[in-house]
Amino acid sequence: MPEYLAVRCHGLKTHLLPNQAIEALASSKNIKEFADVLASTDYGDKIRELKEIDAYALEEIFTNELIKRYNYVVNASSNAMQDFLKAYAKRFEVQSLTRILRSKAFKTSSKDIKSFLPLIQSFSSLNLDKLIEAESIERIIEFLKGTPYSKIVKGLDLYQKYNSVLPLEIQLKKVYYEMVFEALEMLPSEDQKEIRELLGIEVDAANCFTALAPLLYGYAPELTKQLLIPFFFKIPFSSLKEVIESKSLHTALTLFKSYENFIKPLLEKGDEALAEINILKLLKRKAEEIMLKFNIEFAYAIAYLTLCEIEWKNLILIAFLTQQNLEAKQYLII
Amino acid sequence: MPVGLGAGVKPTRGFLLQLKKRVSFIEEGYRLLELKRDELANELRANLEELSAKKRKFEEKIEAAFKNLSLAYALLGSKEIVSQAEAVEKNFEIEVLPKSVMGILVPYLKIVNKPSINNKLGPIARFAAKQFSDLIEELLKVAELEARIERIADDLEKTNRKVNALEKIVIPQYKFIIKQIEDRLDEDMLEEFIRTKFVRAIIAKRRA
Repeated sequence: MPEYLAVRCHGLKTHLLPNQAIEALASSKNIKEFADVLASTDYGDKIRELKEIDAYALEEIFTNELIKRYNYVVNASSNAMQDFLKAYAKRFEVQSLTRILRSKAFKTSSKDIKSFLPLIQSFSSLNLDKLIEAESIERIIEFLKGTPYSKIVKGLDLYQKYNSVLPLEIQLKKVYYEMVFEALEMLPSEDQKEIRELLGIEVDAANCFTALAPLLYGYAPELTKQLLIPFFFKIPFSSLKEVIESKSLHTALTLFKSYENFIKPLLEKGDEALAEINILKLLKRKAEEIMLKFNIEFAYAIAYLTLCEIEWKNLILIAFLTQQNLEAKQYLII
Repeated sequence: MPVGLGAGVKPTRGFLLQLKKRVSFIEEGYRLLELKRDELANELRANLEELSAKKRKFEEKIEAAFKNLSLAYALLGSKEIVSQAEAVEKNFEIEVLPKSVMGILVPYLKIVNKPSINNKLGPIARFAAKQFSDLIEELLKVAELEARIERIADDLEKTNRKVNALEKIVIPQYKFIIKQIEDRLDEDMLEEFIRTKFVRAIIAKRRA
């Protein structure tokens, strides 16, 4: 029943912080004031329990709240919607796997690895402890046989050639999007179209960043082509390939015109942060548009989860920048 | 024995000549040390100016790098940043080699191994990492220059002390001894002259 889930999400949406509140938080003089303002929100209970307030402790609280919101929505859904939401929430599992792989590349201790994994047990069917204890990346790949992530073996040669975990990370992302798009097929066509668009922006942004790596950071074109996620929304594979091969600013600006807001700060000012923020703004606008048009459909729930993630990003952003006495307002995703 | 002459000082013409030779040798050394002192002072001044300019630039860059790192933390979250940092090999290695500047041994830092961030990080973390990676090289250059300045300043201080000692103590002392020996020799000569005159007068008186 998408109506039930959508109605629940309407209620949950009222708990999200409005733009004015985010702006007011960004005006906080220090982290203490920021925490005080947040005390009257959903984060208040946990913040009051903190003995010492700093951005790291707050980040933990924000992440837990995000996971809680995801859990709530997944549990409030059923059938194909729940299958899709479970697949969608695998992004946390992929994030954990990525972090384990990175740590294994240069032998970080198991205790240290655990400290930077998101709390995703509820969304993961994998035995992460076993993976954390594995002695090498090759061993992890062996452990992943029989799971959807077994395909990451395709990135092993590139990992060994470039001594970089990036090819394996991208393989994980490919698997993730494969799972999500497969689950998407089971949803009603109208929902499919809107959700595909949201996911499309995400994938296009990741692919654009990747395609620009040879031009901006001198990444090897041969490796970069392998790092593309094979799902294309507004930017076709041929354009991405052309940008990678040409390493030309003009070609990138012409072929990535659909993402001008994102591309321009990156190419003209070398401002990766602003580029990332512009993409998140685009996602936010798309989610808000979905919420207006489809207020009793399943897509509403996905748009709500997108907004949850954006609130999470905004709060972490303000916490860290306020802690460092840096102006946060210009980077807000509003 | 002459008053004021130290032990081992012989008021003889041979010793006076030896002493004069020694003073001229010391004065030559003094002039060379003075030249070295001026050169060192110039080198120090130039290095200090270079250090001040480098530090100013470095401070600007480090401020920008920290701002970008804070931004990377803010955008990706602390755990993601730490995790991305784990994907970079920690193999930074430098070698400290000696280098001679005007006879002074100063340290020269050579980067043997540097962690490669190429092909390894996502765009936001990479940007922050690249800035810090460049900063480490500049930091080493600043450290090298600071160590060089310290050594030159040490040597300048020693040279200065030597120049001052020669100028204010050693050379005047030698000149004083020379003066005293010369006075003593003059006195002896006068004494000898008077004695000769006196003896001549006596002989002349006897003859008369």
